[in-house]
Amino acid sequence: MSVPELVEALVAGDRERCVRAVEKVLQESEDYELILRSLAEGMDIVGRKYESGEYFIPEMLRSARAANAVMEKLRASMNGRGERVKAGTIVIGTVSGDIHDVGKNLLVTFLRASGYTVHDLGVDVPAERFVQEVEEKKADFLLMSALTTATRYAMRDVIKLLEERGLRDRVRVLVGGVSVNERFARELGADGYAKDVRSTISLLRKFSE
Amino acid sequence: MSPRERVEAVLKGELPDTVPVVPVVDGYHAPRVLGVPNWECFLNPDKMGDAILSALQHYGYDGAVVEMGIGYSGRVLGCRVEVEGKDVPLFVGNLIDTPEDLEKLQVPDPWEEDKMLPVEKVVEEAGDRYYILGAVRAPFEIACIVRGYVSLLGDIYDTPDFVHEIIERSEKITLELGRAMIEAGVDAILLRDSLASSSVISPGHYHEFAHPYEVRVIKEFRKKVRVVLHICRNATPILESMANTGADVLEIDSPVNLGEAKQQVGDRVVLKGNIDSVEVIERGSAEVVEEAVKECMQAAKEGGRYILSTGDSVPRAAPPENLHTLVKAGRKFGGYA
Repeated sequence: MSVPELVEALVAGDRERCVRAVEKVLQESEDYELILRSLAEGMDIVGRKYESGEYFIPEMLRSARAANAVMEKLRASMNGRGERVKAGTIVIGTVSGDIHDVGKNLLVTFLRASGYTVHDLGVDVPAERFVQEVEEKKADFLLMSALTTATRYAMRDVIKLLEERGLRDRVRVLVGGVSVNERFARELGADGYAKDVRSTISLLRKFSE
Repeated sequence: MSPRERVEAVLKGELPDTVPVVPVVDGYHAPRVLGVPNWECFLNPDKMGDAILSALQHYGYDGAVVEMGIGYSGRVLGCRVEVEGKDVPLFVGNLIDTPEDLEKLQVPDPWEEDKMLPVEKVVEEAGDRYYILGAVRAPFEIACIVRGYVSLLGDIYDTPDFVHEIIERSEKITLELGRAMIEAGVDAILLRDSLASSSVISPGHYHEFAHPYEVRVIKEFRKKVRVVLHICRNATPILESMANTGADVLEIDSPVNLGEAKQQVGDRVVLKGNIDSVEVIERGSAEVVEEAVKECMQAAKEGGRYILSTGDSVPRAAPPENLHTLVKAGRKFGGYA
């Protein structure tokens, strides 16, 4: 179940229409889950349109900004009544720095738009910092990327350190980046591998089900 | 023919003795040849000049790509950049967050702090024998850097006027840095507009935010030197427009079909490309490199107007053996006899 009007407005990147659609839902039911599901469905369509060449990065960002407006509306409507509107908490970072971290920044924008609380540690993140953040923020997911083959082994150190601290079972670890593939992810002991924004989000949702 | 005569012949539409080879060996790979970390070269203009010269002599290709010293790392634009210990400079935060911040984007003095030293050094020591390209960022690319890529691309729908304002200011910077390159004696400006790519923005947005500015700066540079226009990744949908910018050469990346590009615009512009600098040069074997060179020659050599090159900058990690193979295979398959 989703709200067709919200999904459609999100795909079109029409922020005002999105907010109006959400207001309508909230008047009727305060069904936060329904809204989150609609956001995820809309963003998935946006991702497909990007893959097929119909959308480019500005069109994806237009929809992401509209989704963020919806999230703000939701938070305002909850007005601190205890329940938290979130799909999960994510700690994310790149183990080695690169000017080409556009992909990760886009992903962060998309994750926030899809309802996740995201702690972005940036680039060149040391293993200790990842683990500390996972513990402090009680993260559900840890997302790491490596952009060069030389540095991807740094992700193994992070997973080892999580095990040493007894945190490995509390967090799902997903890896990505141009230097990583499915097989390497398995060898590392990660829970999953995602090659792009859309596959990351669908993998996260699969884990949450 | 000398390397420089070879490139000049191609630019005049004449057949050289062999297809010129000018891979994009710049501040990312050249320091490896000199045996110093990249960041040392980013901070030391003298070493950057030496690195470019060492790579040119070591591999023996026909022309060099040279950038400003510390300027290239983005500091010249006023951005916060972390360089120490890095192979690639890392931009921290955005220079421009609000319209009020526009004032922070000032036209820098290219001659301050030895910024032009690598260019002057390479021109002086190699310019009589080799073809020298001075790399300058295009207005849209500067705008993406100072506003932050994700922010600027998001602004395109939200606040297009703001985007144009940033690009207009950036245009002045492109012009000033390009003029300095010309004054330093480069043969051509390599105008980089990496993110104007159809892998990033739609052809419609390319025509609104990148193309008109490219046309204006190219017109200015063309009064004195040749211009090579580079756009990263997929540029197939905008190839025709790129050829209409007034650029002498289009440097195209590996996702573009070189043979089709030759058919489409090869009669009007010289094509330079398009071997994948990561998949082929960094990760491929010598055989893979040779095969890629052969394919490029089959697609674009006929009739001239072609320069063999990588589609983008060669990474530091690329095995030197592969660059030797690139040059060797270029000579093996490039002859016009």
